[in-house]
Amino acid sequence: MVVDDEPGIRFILRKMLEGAGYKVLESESGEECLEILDKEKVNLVLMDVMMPGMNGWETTKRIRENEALKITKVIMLTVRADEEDMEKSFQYAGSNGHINKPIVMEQLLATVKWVLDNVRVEG
Amino acid sequence: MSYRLPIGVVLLSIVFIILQFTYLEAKTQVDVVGALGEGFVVVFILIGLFIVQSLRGDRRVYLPVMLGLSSFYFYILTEFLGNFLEQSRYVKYVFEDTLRIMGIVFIALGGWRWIEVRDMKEKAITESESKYRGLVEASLDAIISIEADGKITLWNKAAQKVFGYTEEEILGKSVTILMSEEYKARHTAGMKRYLKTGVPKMIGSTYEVEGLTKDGRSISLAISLSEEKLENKRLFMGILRDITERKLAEEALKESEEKFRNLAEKSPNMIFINKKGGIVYANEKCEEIMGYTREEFYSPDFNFLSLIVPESRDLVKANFGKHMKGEEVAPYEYTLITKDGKRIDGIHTTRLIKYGGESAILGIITDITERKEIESRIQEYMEQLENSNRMKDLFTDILRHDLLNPAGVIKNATELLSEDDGREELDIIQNNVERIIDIINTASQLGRLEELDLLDKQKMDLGEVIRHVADEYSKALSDRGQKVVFDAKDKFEVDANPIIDQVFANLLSNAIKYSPGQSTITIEVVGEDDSWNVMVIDQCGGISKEDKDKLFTRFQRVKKESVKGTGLGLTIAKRIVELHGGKIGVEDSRDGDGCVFYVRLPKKGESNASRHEK
Repeated sequence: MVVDDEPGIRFILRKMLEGAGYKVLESESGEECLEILDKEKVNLVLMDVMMPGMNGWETTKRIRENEALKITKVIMLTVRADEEDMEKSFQYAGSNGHINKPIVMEQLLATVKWVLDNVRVEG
Repeated sequence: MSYRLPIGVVLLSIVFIILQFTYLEAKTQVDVVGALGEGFVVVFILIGLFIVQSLRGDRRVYLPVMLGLSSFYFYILTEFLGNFLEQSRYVKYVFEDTLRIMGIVFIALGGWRWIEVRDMKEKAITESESKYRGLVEASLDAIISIEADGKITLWNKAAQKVFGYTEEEILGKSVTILMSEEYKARHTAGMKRYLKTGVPKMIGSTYEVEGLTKDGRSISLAISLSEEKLENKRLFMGILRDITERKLAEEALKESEEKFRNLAEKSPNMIFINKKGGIVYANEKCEEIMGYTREEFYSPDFNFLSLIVPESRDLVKANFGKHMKGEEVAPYEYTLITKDGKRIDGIHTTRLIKYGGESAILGIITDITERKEIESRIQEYMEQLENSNRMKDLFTDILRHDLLNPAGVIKNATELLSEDDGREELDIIQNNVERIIDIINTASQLGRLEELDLLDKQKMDLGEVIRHVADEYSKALSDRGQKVVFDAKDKFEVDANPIIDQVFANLLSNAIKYSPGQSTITIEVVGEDDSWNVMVIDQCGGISKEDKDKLFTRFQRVKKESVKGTGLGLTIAKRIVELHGGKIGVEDSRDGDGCVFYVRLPKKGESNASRHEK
């Protein structure tokens, strides 16, 4: 699932991922993302950090805190990839991977594949 | 010579008279006795002459002596006449002898009186001398008398105390040993001149000299001189007082006063002394800075409060009052006015002092006008720097977030373009390019506004501006089924730049965007004291307190926040309102269901703060 308030980004990510054979859902906010996760089984969430309302870190934290969503992995999308942001993504929110904006398609697909194949979400 | 001589003379005279009568009786010529009588006459004439010569002017002595001498004169005359006229011997002898005896008796009487008068005089002199001596000795001042040649003839106890010499040591010595070299020469020359011309310069007045003590110390003396003329002697008498300590104290005072004046005169600060509200001292700097001359400062008509700006006067008066009560006053700042009306900022340090025996206030004023100007220039410069720094951060932020996102999307979209028909990608590309242009436009507008200090203003009616903006948004409103309620018919006049419409356009577009479809947006204008308060009330559902704070300050987004920035719209609106001397803000609406964005703008002509203070 792609979570971003920017329709342009959602469109691009959906196109790229569908091109690689993934099935893609879209959500325009953290709140909507959590609602969808309640209903649908999602393997991977691509989460924008900066969104109005609940931001990406908070949303990811909620996902991690939810026992039912153990199998759902999260990759953060940020424009700011400094140490502090990374730490907040991994340590605080508990994300599984990280992708920089603007998006480079090869990097995106490689990261998505790696996270899906190699990261096992610990119980 | 006491009473013996006249008594002896009288006795001898009686013996002689008896002898004469015996001689007459006998009628015999005895030459020895005759010669003896003639000798007596000569002796008595000499005595009479001596008395007359030595005691001129005293009638009690003078009269009998003259009578005696006259008798002798007639005696001698009758002697010669008797011989010449060949008188009877009897008559001749009786007449002659009578005259002779009269002469002797009178002169003896004169001699008696002469001795008596002399004794009385001597006694009077002794008495007055002992009185005088007592006074001299009791005097606290040194009393010295000298003769014309400078020999000391009188020396009292006080003189001994002052100079250290005892009477025995000093009497007969020259007075110059009591003088320093400088005065020695002056004394000698002065005395010589006076004795020659008789015109006194020093005598009869009091003046200060320098003396020399026995142990070689130099002392300051106040001296008054008088002169006394005795028969053939001139005595000069001096009364001296040791004023060394007084002189030292005077000098110390003079020195400290001089020191103060030197320091005060050369001080780069203004220094003055204020006694009972009048300026009794002001240094050069006071003249230089304040523009008044000292004559003006010291004039009794001069009011020192006229040097102080009215708003500082109470403070200064209160502090002076504190001083007079003996309280300390810490240095304080106030503003002065120079003669030509220039304002001077000063730090005022004051102290209570004694001046001429009375309480006065010593004040030191440091002119800090320049310092203040520099400080405010630095402050201004720092604000500019801070502002440009903020702008730099803002533009970096805009580049990284606002521009990078759409640019990235465009890049990705073009990459995908080749993979299908591309209609959707082209739409996205177009949207994002428009966004980029929009962002660049608003950012450059904000940049321009930030650099502005002043806007050109004209008379405008806010009601008209709001109606015009509402018209422009009528399509957006009808698209979402929303409506704007703005009932006011009054004129709300302000001094504004036409750019003010952007503020209301922004508020209205936000209200449209964040309120649900079919909702109503209300605009109200309320007149407050000196400003119009325009309120745009929407139904956005409320905004959290933190977000309210951040809404108008896009700059804060550069901090580590993950909240999406609100764009530049409200930041620009805020800047425009500030440039009009107004205020913009947001509150919850009364029903808590929405927000009230308010803009307060000064009413026309009511604001002199139209210049934006940075």
